[in-house]
Amino acid sequence: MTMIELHELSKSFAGKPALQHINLSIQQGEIFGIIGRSGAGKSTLLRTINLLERPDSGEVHVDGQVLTQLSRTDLAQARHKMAMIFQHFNLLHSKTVYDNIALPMRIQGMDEDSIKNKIDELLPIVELVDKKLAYPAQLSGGQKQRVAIARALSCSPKVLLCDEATSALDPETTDAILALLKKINTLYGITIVLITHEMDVVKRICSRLSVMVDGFIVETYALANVFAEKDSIARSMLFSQLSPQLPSCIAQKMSSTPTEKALLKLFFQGEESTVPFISQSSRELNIDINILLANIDQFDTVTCGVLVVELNAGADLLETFLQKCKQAELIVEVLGYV
Amino acid sequence: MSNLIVYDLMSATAQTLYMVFTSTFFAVLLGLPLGTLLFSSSRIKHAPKLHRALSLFINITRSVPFIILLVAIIPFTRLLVGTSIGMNAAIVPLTVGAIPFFARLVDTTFRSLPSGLIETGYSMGANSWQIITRILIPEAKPALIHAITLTAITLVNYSAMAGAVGAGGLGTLAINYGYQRFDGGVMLATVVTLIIMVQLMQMCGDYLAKRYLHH
Repeated sequence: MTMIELHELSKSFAGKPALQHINLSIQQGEIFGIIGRSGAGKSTLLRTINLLERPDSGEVHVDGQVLTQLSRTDLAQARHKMAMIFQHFNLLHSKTVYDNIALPMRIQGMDEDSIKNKIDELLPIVELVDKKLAYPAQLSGGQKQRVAIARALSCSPKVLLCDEATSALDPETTDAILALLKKINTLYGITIVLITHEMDVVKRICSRLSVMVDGFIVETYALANVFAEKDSIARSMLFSQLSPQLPSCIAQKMSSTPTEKALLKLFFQGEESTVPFISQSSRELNIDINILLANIDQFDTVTCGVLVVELNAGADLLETFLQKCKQAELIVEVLGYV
Repeated sequence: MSNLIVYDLMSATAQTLYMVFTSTFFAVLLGLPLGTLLFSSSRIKHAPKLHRALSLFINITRSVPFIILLVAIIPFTRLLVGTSIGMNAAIVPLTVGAIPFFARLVDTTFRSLPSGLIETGYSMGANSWQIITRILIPEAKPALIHAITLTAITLVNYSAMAGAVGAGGLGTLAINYGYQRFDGGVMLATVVTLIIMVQLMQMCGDYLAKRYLHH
């Protein structure tokens, strides 16, 4: 079932286009990632879903309602079923954790008994039972985002919009928050839309993703299928995220003039990553392959690996090796020569 | 100093406090909505024309020197309290002078809050009124207390000026005894009383603001 449907959205700020002909549909219960550089328009796109930004043209459908046609009061009602979390948390510093979580429910006019019950249900999920009466200033960044998540969940939303929700957090805390988002997605079946500039975030929890460039959605894929799309931006982003940086001692020695020693970067995906390709090639071609860097990771259901190797071979053998890689459907890139 | 002077000083202090607190109360009562409307018209419900009109009105009223305002609104004061002399009559110009001052402070206070708060309110489905009363005012409470303190202290100053036209209080005492009779002792006692008064008001304000500050 489609939860969010964006139809031909366009929006510009002072003549500068921020969104251009956006068409997107997001299914109920999925975690959908929108990735792009800053200024690509992803933040504006996210804000059109709950109409914090009203598009200049186009329609926004959420849960069967056409939000762009609702009156002010009906829109406020519809927003009760769509929560949002932010990069800088946006908690009220004057209120305790309890009162922060209670805020959306009080705005909706729920009675204090139901509010108390709901908060008692939510606090264990976000692991903040002992912080109930603490003020935001006494919490760490990760704890603040947990409060914001509990606040977002308080009105039992169908959609959770995440605006760079982990960008202000350190890597460990990011992992914990992403795990929590995944947990609430499974627990409540909430549709999650997140925007980020970090492929790592998308890779960890999203089942589908879109890439935004200059206000356009240029690609939309299921994460597991990204690797099949040879020329996709998403794939190159995933690969560059996967491959470690060469240390400067090697990078500096490298040149583009061919020599006996070539540096290659190999990408494995799916089944290939389990085949001992390197040792087989080394035996068959009788060449020395020196592994400099290696990494392996999982993207949804697909396993993926990267290797940076030093090949001690001449031009002919290198050519043979490259052919062999192509036959094995590996992606290979000659980085340079040392 | 004779007992009579001490008695005069005490009753003048009480009169000044009465004028300052009453006019602060009304200035906050009317200035808070005005300041909120000023802020809201530019940041919550965009109404550029209303915002410009309010801003202009506040700037004009703030640029009139208090001593001129005091005399200029005498007809209005008479209409409201029936007289233009005495404490109650002084409260009218004091309040009128302080409203735009406090309104501008309220606007500045709200502007210094993180802009994401308004967006957060909207994302929860709050309306403008709920955003103001449930988010902005609670978040701005310590700063608003500082703004009230500042207004009250400014009104201590204004009330002394009002003394020149017979408002009563420490200003009248200072002019009658200190200036017209050239009694340095009374003048000094008046000034010291004012210093202590301002000091105490600032301390109370700081204490209250700190109680509400949680970061």
